Amino acid sequence: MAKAFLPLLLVVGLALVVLLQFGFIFLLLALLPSIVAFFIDRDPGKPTSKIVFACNLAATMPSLMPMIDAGIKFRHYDTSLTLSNPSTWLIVYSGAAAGWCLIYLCRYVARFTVTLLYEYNITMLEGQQKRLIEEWGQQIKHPPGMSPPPEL
Amino acid sequence: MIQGTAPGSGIEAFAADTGGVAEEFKNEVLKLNDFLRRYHPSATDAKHDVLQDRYRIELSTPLPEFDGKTTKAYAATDLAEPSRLLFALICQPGTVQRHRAIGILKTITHQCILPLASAGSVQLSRPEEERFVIFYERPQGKKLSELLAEHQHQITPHFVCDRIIAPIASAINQLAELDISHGSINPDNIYFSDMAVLGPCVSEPCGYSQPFYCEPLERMQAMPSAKGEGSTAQDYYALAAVVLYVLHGAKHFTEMNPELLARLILREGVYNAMTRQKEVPEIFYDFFRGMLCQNADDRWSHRYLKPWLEGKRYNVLSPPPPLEAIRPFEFENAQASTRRELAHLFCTDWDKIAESVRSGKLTQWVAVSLRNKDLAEKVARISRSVVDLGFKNEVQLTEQIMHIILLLDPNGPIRIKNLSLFMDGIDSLCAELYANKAHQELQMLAKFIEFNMGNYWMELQRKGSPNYTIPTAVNTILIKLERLRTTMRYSGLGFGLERMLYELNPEMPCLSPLLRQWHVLTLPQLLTRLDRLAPNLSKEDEPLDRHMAAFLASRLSIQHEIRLHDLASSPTLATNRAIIALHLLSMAQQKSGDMRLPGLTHWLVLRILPALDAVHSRSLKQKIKAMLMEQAKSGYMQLLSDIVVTSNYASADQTGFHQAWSLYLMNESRIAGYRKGNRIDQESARFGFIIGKALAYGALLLSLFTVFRGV
Repeated sequence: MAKAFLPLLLVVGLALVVLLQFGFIFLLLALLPSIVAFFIDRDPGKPTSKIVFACNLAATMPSLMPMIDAGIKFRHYDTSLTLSNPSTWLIVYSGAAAGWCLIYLCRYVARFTVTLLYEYNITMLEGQQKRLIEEWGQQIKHPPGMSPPPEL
Repeated sequence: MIQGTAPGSGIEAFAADTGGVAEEFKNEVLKLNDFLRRYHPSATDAKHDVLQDRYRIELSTPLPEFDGKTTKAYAATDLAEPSRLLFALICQPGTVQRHRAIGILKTITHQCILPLASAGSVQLSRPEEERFVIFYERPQGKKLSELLAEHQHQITPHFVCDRIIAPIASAINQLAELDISHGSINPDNIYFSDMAVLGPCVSEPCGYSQPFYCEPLERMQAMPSAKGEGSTAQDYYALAAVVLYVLHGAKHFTEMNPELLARLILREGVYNAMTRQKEVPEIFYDFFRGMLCQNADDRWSHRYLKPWLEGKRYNVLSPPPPLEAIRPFEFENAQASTRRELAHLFCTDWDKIAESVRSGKLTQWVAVSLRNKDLAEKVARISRSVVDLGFKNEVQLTEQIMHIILLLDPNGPIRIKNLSLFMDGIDSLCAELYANKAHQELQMLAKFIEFNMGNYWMELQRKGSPNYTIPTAVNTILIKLERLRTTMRYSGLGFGLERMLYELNPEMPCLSPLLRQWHVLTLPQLLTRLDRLAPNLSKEDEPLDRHMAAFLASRLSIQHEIRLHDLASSPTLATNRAIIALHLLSMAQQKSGDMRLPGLTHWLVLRILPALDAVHSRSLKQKIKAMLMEQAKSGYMQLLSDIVVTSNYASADQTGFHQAWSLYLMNESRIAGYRKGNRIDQESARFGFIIGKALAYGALLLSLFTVFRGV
């Protein structure tokens, strides 16, 4: 998968260069936060960069779409207007920033959910342990002269 | 907690341990105890001091003149015939009586044998015990010894022949026809009014109280309780001794002791040793020469005695002295000139015999001085075995030395270490050793039986006499030994020395401390007694002691160690005495027919309840206990046994416990896993990314959708 990633990226990159021409420079500049996130993400599967990239791309798409459309129809598109518009950059980088925020926010939500789930499991298991002790006695904790079961 | 605790304590501990539900059982236990407190089984019909509603013991009138070594005598009354004067011999517990002889003597009437009226176990009022009692008709006249002590004049030979020898010979002949011996013919046990009458002889092993001078040498050498039944040949010998006593008075034997007389007999022969060269009336020459023979086969019996009494004279030659060796054998500062004397001498110091055998001195002496090639070869073979054994195997070494002594004196008793016995005396010897708590000797006797050492003695008897027929008593004991041998390998409950005691002595009552005050001989008797004892047993006694277990196993013919196979998965239950007791007692109840024993079943349930703590599953335990309590009311132990012993709850419980244990450990590890901090971090991060990705991809899709829609 990792081996196929670089040639695929090269092919997609070349296709985009052909399609977007100067718009490709805009794309590179717009996806700069995603590129940075890719390189700093040490987690397996690079989930941080994927989230940042998805949010970054979602914010870039409104500005990028006219360039792609012009490229497909072999029309000239003046990229300088887009590049010189500060609101474009604000939207694009805000999208990347929203990606980072989403990462931290989801982690807290997940922690809360997981803790709740674990506590529930522990309570269930402790209830089962109590029933086992009631049925089989305290010696189930340390049965005399018995070796642990092989499956454990 | 199950074993070795006082009854009740286990139950209370269980009740305390398991809280609410156990309270319910505590109530059940109280109910069991309450039942036992109120349980009063119907009393026995047997009257105190009376046998068969006919023979009554007058405990207020002791008759010490009839006391025996192991019996006390009291006056007795025949309620059917009050004019008939009787006396009762009350036997001590744990002693052996001659039951075969009792059975025979009860049926015969002979004017010169004291009539045996009856015998059996009697519930005594003082002490409050059940004992074996023998009722005899009271003899007329005085004891011969007392009469002779009082008599000042010379007794004429004709008087001796007509009033002493003839009646006693006739009595011995009668006994010989019935295939029993008297074994107790001596001046203190012959009663004389107008003729001699033989006194009692069945309350103890044959020859147990016989004075040494009234016994032939080989019986004199045996232990008093191990002389065996023998034959009437010993009675004829005793008759000759009695006549010598009559002719020469008590002084004739008072200067002797058993060892001195034995050495004299071995050196000079019986005739010379017993008569001590004293003059006797000429009429008795034949009598003494015929009667005082060392070899029982050569000894006069009624066949010769009757014609002699009728006046026939045989001109019997004086028996030759024993054949002497060229040179005597020296052993421990003493000398032996004959092989028999050497066997006797050897037994004075058992530990030194091996030395003489190993050195080859004995083989050489037999070959050179005795000039007996055949015997020398046999002794040499055994000597080689003794040398090979060295000091390794003491039992085998002892057996080899026993063989040597038997080879030297094949007609003598079997001598093995401290024991000196005849085959048919093993049963009474065992009982005596047990009563005296002689454990070392008992162990030796057990080895003797286990290794079939008596077989060599049998071989020698067969080789010694081609027409040898095994006497009834020996045959009976051989059958017992054969049966016992397989059980001697085991030492668990129901086996061991106690089992040996009951197998060898089927008439021995159960000597369990619980039942000591009763004469319990059969399984129904034992069950009935235990049922009656149940109210008093519940708080203090072991459910099954070694005596009771051995008695039960013997009566139930259990040949292999008691193993409760259905409880094998739970060793605590399988080895629990209360459960083993239930198993054995239920078998006994089945064998005894239809007997309802509610006292015993309640007591057993009470003893088994604490043992069930070994069952892990609480619900199973509750179920079993509830079933036991329900079935206790039935009075049938088989129903209890079906619940506790034969159902396969133990293995199911064990399997369930293993599975539960595995689950418990698994749950423990899962709980610990859930509580680990880094696991929560990892899991929340993983889950956070999943949520984040979902939202981000959602946003991207929304953006694409919006853009494409715009286009």
